[in-house]
Amino acid sequence: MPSLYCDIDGFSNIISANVQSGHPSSTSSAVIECISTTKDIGDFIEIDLGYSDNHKKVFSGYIKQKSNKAPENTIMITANDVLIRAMDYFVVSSDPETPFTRQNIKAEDFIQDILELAGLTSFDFDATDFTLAISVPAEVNLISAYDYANSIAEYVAWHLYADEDGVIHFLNRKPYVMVSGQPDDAQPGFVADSSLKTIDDSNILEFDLRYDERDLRNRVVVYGTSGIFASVSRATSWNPVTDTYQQILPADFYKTIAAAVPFIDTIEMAQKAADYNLQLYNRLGVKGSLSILGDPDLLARKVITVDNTILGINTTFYIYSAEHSWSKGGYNTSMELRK
Amino acid sequence: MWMVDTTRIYVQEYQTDTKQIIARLNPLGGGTVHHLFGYEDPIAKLEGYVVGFDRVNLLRNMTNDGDLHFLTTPYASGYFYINSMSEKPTPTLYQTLDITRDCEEPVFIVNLELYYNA
Repeated sequence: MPSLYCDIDGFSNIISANVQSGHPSSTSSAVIECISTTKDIGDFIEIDLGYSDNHKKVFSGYIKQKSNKAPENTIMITANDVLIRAMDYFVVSSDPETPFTRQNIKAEDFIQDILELAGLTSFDFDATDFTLAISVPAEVNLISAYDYANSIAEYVAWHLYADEDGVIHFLNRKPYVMVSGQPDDAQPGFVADSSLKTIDDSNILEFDLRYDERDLRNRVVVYGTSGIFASVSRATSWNPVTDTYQQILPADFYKTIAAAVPFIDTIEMAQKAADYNLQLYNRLGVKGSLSILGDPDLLARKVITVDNTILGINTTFYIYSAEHSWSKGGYNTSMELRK
Repeated sequence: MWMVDTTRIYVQEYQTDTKQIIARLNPLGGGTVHHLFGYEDPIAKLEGYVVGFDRVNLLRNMTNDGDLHFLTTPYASGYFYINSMSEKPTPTLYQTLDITRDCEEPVFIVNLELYYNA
């Protein structure tokens, strides 16, 4: 019988730990209940959990909240990963006439410069083919560092996140399984996914699978600086089950997403942003909810194979979000999946 | 000799319960998977006679002080919290259990539940 394991430096008598990470979340978060701790608000912690013979670090970040509960006399700790520094760092120049600006800069360099304002130093960035603010300087003022950096990431249809080691990544990570032959496989930084492991019925506690077009957008409009705009649309949408374009929305019906981006000042960049975002959003949603016996390997942004006999599914999924729940009720991992 | 701190008890029954904390999870593939979270420290239950109001009162006060008390037994001794206690007087006219007390002292049957503190 596996013994549950949880180690957090400075914590003793841990009653429960819950770690959440997700593609759409700005930060990963952790909630720990314990009897005592030497850690306090602002301290850095790392959570290593799993089983005595299979445990891994699943979280690192800063304590944001500490509360004491009565009558149990236990301590509840809430923590967020390192990107919380960028969330909490509000960019405000002392002189409104001289705000933080950048001009003619690659998207990845712009993001790094903004995040460094918040004291973040550990980066793993890929190179985009986007150059921003080519002729007009982009001003960053009266906005959180994360919000501005993430708006750049969204504009180029890439992903900004911090991993369990506190390293910040900016890369071409789509919120679905990336395979060759997809519409976006020619974009810079595209790397086809490989499955980390197979989850079958011996590990699955619950599984459901659904299809929807809730997030599907088959028309994208991008507004840049004055006079700069671009749009793109497509009648058919990508079906990740058949790996083909199909008519999913009614004929001649378009759902539109729009972006107003102050640091786009060329038609070429605006058009590229529109094209990339159409490839990102113009697809059928194939989504799953999976609950399994706890597995510390399975964090958000990994790709797994799900083999379920009841639904007759044996295919790869992207872990869109993952929640690790560890307590005397056992250790289980719940995931939201995307095809 | 059995005592809680310095209070003498004439024990008739003594029982300890120990327990592991095991979660049971049932995957679709069948069977049950067990996860061991840890274990609970022993819970001791004892029934015995106590002679005198003062001694019963001493024990009763231990059920609301939140303090550790030392249980002395002929076997293993240790510190316990007194989680609960029930008491009832026995129909006794004269007691000879404890010759250090007056023979007219009342005799009670008490049941104690003790939480061992490692």
